[in-house]
Amino acid sequence: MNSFILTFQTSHQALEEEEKLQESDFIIKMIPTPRGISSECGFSIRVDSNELSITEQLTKNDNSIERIYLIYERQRSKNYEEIYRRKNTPLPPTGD
Amino acid sequence: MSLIYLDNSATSFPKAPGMAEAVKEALLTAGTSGRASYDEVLKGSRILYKCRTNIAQLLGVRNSSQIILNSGATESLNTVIKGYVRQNMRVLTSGAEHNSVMRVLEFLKEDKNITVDRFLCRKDGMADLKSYSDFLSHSPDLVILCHSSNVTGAVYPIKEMIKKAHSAGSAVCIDGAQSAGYEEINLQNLNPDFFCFSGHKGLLGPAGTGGFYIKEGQKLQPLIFGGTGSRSEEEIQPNMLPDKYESGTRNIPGLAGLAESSSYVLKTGIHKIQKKEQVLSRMILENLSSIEGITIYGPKELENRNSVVSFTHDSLDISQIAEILDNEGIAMRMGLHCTPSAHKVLGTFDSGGTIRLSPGYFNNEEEIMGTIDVIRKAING
Repeated sequence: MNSFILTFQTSHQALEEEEKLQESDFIIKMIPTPRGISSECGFSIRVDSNELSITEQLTKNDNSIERIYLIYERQRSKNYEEIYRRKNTPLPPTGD
Repeated sequence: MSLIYLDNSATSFPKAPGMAEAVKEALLTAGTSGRASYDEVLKGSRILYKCRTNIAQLLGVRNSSQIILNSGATESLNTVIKGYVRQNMRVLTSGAEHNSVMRVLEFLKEDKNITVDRFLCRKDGMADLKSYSDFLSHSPDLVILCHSSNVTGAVYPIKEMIKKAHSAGSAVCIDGAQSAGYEEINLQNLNPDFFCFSGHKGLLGPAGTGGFYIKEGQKLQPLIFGGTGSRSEEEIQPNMLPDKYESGTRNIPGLAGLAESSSYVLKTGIHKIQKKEQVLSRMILENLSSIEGITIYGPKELENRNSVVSFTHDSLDISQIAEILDNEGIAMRMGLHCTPSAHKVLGTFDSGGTIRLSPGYFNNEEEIMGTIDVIRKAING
């Protein structure tokens, strides 16, 4: 099972996306945005899926996802690899 | 005698079924919103989300993040007018506007040296469209229009008026305090730049709730700056909607009530609500007009009216009629209704205003006829 994190500009957008994803087969959960991830909103959506990549499915229609990160473990710590970035959106500094 | 409530223009009563329970539930179980992801905060965030998406649906707005939630129409009008108007700008509004608009403009005349033009209204409270067009030729920066009057009952032809204002290069703000929840509104179609609404009137929610719509691409200086739960690393106000205009913790219990009441309005249907209010309003108009000495104000054509009925009597002072109605448990409003200029248009300013009856969705025909009987007896003795 792979885990991904979706980030948003506002909590309204996160809830809007949550509503859409609740109708999909993905397993989702609202989580506090991890400190290593750059996000404008205090919470993000974690998506668990057996698929290797979910980007195309999540971004092919109207959406407000800012970034998608793949979560992976290295040396017993969680790492986040950015696999999608919305065009023309500057990022604020990370929480680190 | 039990209460007959005919003051729905001031605030709706009773409120939507389930509304009070939703407020209580939020007080007992919800936290803040958007600042964390524990259950209580998610609940608070979801309340705001539901409220915003319901209002967007009711107002025909596709992108619900363009709905800003706050304490109501007065805060919204202050936000839009103060946030839009800059030094030496020109503003056009009607000659019958509410104090929630006029007091802001009077302040800005002094504070920012703005020019305020006021187009004429007809004797029945409707906009004089010739005068409106004449003033638009001065190319105002902002036009502020009352959609539906709380005194005369007049409903302005705002689609046509918005189009004319845009042709003159003006932005348009609509005061929808009396129209949201009372009539079908599609903002994509009407195309104003801003639309301000109240949560506790036609939307049947609690006092201290409401908000405004902002068209995509429009910008205002926020009225209030502060924490939004987003872009917390930065000390400058975020630009994203709705956060830009929602600093500080929202009134989550109140907005839980508005979320519930707007669900009720959506489920019931605006058309059904409007139709019932029109029937009751027509009943008041027909029966009052048969009482000698009564003058009814506002447009004659029913399609140009909301459910508000204002009247006076030739010989009996309005305070005498109001006292009898009070004693009989009939809730109405006597006076100027925070809109002195509308009474100057009607010619009722010097005599202290009018008596206003404003039926709502929860009134019935028996209550209306009971009220008419009391008025008839008060006048005929």
